[in-house]
Amino acid sequence: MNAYGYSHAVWQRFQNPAHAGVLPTDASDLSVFQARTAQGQAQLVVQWAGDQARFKAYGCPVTIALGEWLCEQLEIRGLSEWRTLRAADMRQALEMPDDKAHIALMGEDVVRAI
Amino acid sequence: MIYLDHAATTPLDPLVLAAMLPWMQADAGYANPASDHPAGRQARHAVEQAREQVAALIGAQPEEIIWTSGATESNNLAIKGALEFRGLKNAHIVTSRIEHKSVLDTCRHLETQGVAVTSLKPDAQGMISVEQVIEALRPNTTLVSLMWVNNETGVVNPVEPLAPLLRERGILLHVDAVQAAGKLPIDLSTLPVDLLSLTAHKMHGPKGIGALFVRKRPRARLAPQLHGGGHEQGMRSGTLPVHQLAGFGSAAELAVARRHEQAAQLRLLRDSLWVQLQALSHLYLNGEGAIRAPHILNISFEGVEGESLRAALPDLAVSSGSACSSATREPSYVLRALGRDDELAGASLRFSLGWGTTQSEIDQAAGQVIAAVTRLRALSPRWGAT
Repeated sequence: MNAYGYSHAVWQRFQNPAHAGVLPTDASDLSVFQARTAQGQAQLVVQWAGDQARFKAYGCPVTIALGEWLCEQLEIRGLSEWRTLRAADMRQALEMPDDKAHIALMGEDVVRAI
Repeated sequence: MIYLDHAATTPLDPLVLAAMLPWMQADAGYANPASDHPAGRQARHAVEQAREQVAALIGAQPEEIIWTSGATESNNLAIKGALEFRGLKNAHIVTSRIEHKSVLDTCRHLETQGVAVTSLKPDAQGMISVEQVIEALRPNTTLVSLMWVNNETGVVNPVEPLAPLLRERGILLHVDAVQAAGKLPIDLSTLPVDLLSLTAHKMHGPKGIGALFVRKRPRARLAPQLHGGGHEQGMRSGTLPVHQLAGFGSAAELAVARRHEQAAQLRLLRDSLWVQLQALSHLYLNGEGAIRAPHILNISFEGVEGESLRAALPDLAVSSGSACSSATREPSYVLRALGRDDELAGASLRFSLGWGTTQSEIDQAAGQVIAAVTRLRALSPRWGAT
């Protein structure tokens, strides 16, 4: 249990984000999905090339955990299925409280980004 | 865990605990100090000894110390008490935007009662100048309330040059000295402050006990805020907690004995922390260039988000800026008053040192902060773009 009251799903991913980083920019099939919260206090960028996903995130621990979870899901589901994920799925997977709903909405914007 | 949050509260000193224990035990300590029997007289003796010890900390006379439950009550009693005694109608108070909430909210309450309040904005260093205060005075100004040391930045306000100027004008001066006591020299036998707030738990004493210095000559008169048995010269009714007072007295005595050594030690450690943290780029020392109390270091870290910075330091007890929430939590109003934007104010840490803080703890804390900031910046899409 962490002292700050984050869910286990958030805390584990915040502490050890295995997908943090960037992919080589010269990858021919590189896709970049990004969004920020309405007030700009958080930002998430997800990269996808071949069968690898990476992310960069600015924001609270939930934002960083969301970046990690989205990369995990991208590698598990593939791009087409990944793009069907919605904010409710993200809130459920990471046990986000109501006051982090805006982070999940940003996640949905990332998934829908062209 | 490394504890660097002494501006929030301090651990109870073992010597203070030893001074308190007899007054919580059945064989001697439970009597009411207002009772006129031997046990009551014994308790009263302990209360008066504590009053002498606290008075000695600030160069006051014992009869100028009024016991309260802490600094929040002291600030309320000083401000509301002084204004109500002199009359709220057409009254004017000068204070600053960087005061503790117990001053700001008390002044706001008085505004609803018709009192005019001027809240001064600090300069870029976080200080309120003497000139600002003097220029804000009006013919109907009753009281100036100004903190000696800001609890977030450690910046020292110019209480010493200001006090005589207000005395000349017949305006009461209230000083919240919670962060100054035991860290800076305070001698109210020569400094014409009228009212001064103290609390025990910021100087290794117990929580729940504080004091208000109320000058006798010239007399600063207050309307009581708690009515009852007429304790504390009628200014604050309520049975006195002897064990807490014995602890406060002991803590004050220790603070007097340790002040020079402690101030020098804290300053060295604080400066060591700042030097080590400068291994990171894009730092902002809040209060840079101002005179600062030796125990507080407040830094804003560009390129990281405040809540993540706090969470990335689970083994370090420090105060942090803000949370990323859709609710109404806001960054520090003090840092915003200094001109920091929301993002930078949120990404700030206040390190506050105390008696017992070691160089090893400072070295470990610096290492943890450098690692956390470096990790979060590497994660950020914004940092690479700056």
